[in-house]
Amino acid sequence: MFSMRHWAYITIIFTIAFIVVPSLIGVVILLQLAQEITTSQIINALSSVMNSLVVAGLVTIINILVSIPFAWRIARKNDSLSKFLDFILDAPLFVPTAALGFSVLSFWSSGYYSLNLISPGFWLVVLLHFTFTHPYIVRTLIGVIRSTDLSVEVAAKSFGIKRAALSRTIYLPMLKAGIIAGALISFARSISETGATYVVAGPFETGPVFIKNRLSVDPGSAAFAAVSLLLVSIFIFFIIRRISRRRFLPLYPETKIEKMIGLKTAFSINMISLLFFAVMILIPSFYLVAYLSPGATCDWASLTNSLLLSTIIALAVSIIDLFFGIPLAYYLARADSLLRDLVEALVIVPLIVPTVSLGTSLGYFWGSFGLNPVIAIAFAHLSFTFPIFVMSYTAAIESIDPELELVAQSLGADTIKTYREITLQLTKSAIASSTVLVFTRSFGETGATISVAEAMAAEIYTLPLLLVSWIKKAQAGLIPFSTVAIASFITLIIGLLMMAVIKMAGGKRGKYE
Amino acid sequence: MNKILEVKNISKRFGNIQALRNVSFDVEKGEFVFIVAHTNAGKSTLLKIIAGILEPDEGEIYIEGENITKTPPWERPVGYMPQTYALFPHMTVLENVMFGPIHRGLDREEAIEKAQKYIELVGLKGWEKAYPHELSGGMQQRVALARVLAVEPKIILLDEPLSALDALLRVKLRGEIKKILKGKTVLWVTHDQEGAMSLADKLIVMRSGRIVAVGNAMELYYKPPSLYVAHFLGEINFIESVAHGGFVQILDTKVSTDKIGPVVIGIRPEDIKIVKNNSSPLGRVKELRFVSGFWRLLVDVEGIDLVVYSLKRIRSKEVSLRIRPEDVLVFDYPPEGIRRAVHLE
Repeated sequence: MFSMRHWAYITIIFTIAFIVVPSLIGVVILLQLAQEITTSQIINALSSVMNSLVVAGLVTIINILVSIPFAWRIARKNDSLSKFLDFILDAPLFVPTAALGFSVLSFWSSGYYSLNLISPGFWLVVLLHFTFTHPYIVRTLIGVIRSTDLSVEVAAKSFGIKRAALSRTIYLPMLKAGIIAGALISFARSISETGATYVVAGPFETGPVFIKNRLSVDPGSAAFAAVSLLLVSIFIFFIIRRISRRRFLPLYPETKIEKMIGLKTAFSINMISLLFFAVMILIPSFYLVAYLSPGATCDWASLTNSLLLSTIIALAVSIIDLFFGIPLAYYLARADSLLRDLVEALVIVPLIVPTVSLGTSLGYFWGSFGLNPVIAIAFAHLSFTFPIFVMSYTAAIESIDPELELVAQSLGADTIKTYREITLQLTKSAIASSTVLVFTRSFGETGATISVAEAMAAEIYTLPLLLVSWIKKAQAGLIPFSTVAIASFITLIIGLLMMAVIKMAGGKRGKYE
Repeated sequence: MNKILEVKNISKRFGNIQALRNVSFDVEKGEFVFIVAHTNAGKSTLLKIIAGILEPDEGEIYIEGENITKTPPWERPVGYMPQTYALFPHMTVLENVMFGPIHRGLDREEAIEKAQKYIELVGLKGWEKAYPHELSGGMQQRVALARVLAVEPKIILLDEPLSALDALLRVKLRGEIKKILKGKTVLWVTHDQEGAMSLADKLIVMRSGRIVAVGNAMELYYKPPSLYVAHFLGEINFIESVAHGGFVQILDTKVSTDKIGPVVIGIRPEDIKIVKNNSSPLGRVKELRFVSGFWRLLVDVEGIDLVVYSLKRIRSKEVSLRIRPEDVLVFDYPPEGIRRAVHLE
């Protein structure tokens, strides 16, 4: 009889055949290029990989620190501020990455009314990476917090411990799955991002920027960097996963510092995380709107066409992600075997491959089958959205008590019915939030999409590609910046509207929550 | 004999831990069987294997003579109720109880009818539309009971159903559950030997994944097969002694035995009588404690400390004790020593 396990195995085959292998084939091609390179080329390549690791590590750690109170507030407080934040949270993801890079550059460095605070380089890259990793961590955490039974917090509070110690002993361990999943997605996004980083990096080279710079002139170095980046990342992912199986934080009595941290501090932590969101994430992401001027106009026909194309691709990709991602997430959350760990490590691969090399390799791969470029782009989007969906939803299932499923089975429901009537019902909000993540990621992706289009020599303009081409034209003085601004603005509004629809389709939070 | 459940040579390992070793027993139709064991003795694992949630490494499970070892849980005619109740938080009481009947093939109308019948049986009529989190612990437990009854299983498996409740409620519900489950075949797992003895038709004692005793509760209490069972089922005095010439002596009581050499004498505190007869051995009262309903004394007689229960309050510093030979248990002296032999595990 057909069960969740069969479904999971079919999904694993799908994942390997359509997601992992295509992503890796490009790496294999690159490896052949990397055969004859000199020591100095190796050192340059490795130092760029090192830069990427430092940026990704720093961004992820700071992001976790500021995201936990933020996600907590949104998930637990049911006031209008929470609702607003929940709504606006994913907005930075709607800004196509290239436009995002340009916007962040304009805000911090050079542009109209700009702060002129930070010149292109390491710190600007870090600031940029905050903007597009923050939503992933917060979104994943919200999903987990909402589907976790936190009645123990009352019990724990009754022991009289202060908030800080409470966080260490109760909250953080409960949110472990969400923190790890969010951190992994954020780390992977940061380490592979190309399009936006390129705009703000200046002389500073991350791994992906190094690869983009060398791809045509020095393919050997580019290939070496891509492969090292991939291997180092897989290694780090595996280590984090292994470590996270153990006890999360040590259990020791409340420390003096923790005793001092009271409600007031908690309040100011909330304020800091809010402020961080506003100043570091939201405003830089939308600084492009500052170029908006009355009477601005643009090529409405192109905009509408691109909008339609991006929506269709994002929708199709989200549906396929849901269809194959749900059983795989269920398998990853419930199985305990070597195969499980291996599949988990493999699923992450497309996330870590720098988007330029991913796009190029996927373009060649699907192009060699004579695939329609639009479908090839959809396949590319599938590659980097699927891991996001799977990781985020796996975390949510892990927080559901397996005993509920076992009892349902004992009462007569087979594994599929049990999933449909118990697990799915309890993780609806996590499915909605995971879908939001993949939809926005597909909707706003630039780097890989450009590479696929170039590799297949196709004239295709998804919304981000249209915006990038307009930014280039504006920088060349061919069209006014207000055109870019209005197009970005409209993209944002429509994106947010579609988000609202997805969230409503995901269902309201149940009465029991 | 009408065997409902037969468990044959079940073994189960988790990594380095041998949770179950070669466990075999039967449950007959209409029997109320208790598995009692200290925490972590493998009793929950055993229940999960019978329910089909865990697979045994070795051995077979039969229900009414049919081998169901490979049958998935949803096709087994057993009802499993976990310790946490695991009520579905997104469903009402009615929906929780209907869940089983619906998935066992009844149509909606029939399932509702059946659910209502069992909700009424457990005394929750009027609460059909409530959600689990709106109910008290005792009520949640009754919903879980109704839910398991509604699938009308051939055998009901209960995993520590009372452990989440407070002491008073526990005693009250223990009686109620017995009433609700009257006539049903039940396998109940617990670490609470007192509760088990008051309800069980048959008692199975487990230790470290093995069955160490099976039998009638009263029999096991008064004629335990080992020091461990004697100690586990209730308070008992153990006195080291030596048997020779077919006799062993405790105070002035001579007990005949076929054992020779070092032995352990066992005597229950309620079997030591306090008498006014001056010819009986005299002991000094070292400790006196009121345990609801009776007094527990620690008496030093000729250098031996004995625990003695008395229904009457004892005011004197010294008491005379009498032991009847038929109340005395004689065990071989365990090679590992008494302490190790009775260690709870």
